[in-house]
Amino acid sequence: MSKDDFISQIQEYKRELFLLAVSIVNDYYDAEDVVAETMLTAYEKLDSLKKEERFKFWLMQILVNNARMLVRKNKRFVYVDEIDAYVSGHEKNISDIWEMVLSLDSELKTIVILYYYQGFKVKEISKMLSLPVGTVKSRLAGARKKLRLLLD
Amino acid sequence: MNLKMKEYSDKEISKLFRENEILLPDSYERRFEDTLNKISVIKSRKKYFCFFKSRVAAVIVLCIISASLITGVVGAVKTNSNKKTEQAEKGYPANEKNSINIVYDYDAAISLCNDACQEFARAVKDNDEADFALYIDNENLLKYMQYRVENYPYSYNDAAIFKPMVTEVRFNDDHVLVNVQTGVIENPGFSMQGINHFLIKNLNGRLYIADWYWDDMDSPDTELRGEFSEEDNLTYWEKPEKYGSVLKAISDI
Repeated sequence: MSKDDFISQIQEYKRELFLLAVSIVNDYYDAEDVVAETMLTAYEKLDSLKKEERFKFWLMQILVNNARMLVRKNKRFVYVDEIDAYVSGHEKNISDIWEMVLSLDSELKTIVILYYYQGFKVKEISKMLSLPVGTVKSRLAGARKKLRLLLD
Repeated sequence: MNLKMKEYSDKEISKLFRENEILLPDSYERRFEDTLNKISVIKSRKKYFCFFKSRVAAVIVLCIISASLITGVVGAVKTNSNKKTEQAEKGYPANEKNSINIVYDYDAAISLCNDACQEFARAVKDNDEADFALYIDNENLLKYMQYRVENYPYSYNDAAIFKPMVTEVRFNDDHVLVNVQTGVIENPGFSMQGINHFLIKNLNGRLYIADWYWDDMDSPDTELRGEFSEEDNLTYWEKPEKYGSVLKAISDI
């Protein structure tokens, strides 16, 4: 993939990158850092991308790794206050459905974004998050129940 | 019984997300553009010989890959051989060698579909590889069904009771169509998980599933294969021009 192709493709995922990062690091300034770091890492590692059609998966996997590394480094935990602060701080920009998602537990939130918003399959999410398929499915089931309850 | 249907399908929830895009913070937009500018001025990337920084690393990785491949091939041969032995011993015998008869083959056809559904649910529940060797003889359909199991978006907990329910059976000279509605009895309620269209064929005196199409809004069948057609789907998994693109799509996952 050429540099121009890379720049053009990564722009398509600007929104997805940010939301996935927020779901993991639970802080929106940290999410900006993670996305920037991911873009640079992805460009440096572009040679390791074997199939261009897998670009999105490959890119999101790098982001997940970078985000988790930051969480470990900062020894951060999921504080409901932080999520609430993010939601209320950007109230005007957030629709009801996103407010629901951002209020979910961190582990459910990431899976919801990957499955419903980004369209990844269960197996892909399992690979990306290094979780057993069964864990992804049970978290998805938990998230689905909560979302349907909230949507009703 | 308290009936609880799927009020929102997974596709409908996905649609809600896409239709309600979240606005990105200005600071993120600026940061994103800045990073793109940084990338655009970076000089060409370094190239490594065969993707490795050193030959030692290349040799180590190649040795590991070779060992894994040898182990995998031996394992696959053993598994395949076991499955064939089981298949020879059991199976769903038909009354005649090539035709299907509603009087004599009805029970076997229904059992075949119910048992296949139960095996599917077991594999999903146990997060295990499904063993469809008794029910499916076509390698392409077997491969696809494994994908279906691994990517089935629902999970079953210990208390859930999986329930296949035959809703329609239609016999033809050379095949049977069996429609099976599947659902799960939960506490509380019951949730439906779509209709399964089974096309059953007779192969040398044994009944096998020629096609297994899951008709549901969230099904990969509707997404990857188009609408169900009894006539076309009977030979779907024997024609590369039909199944080729589907297997390619799932191999990328």
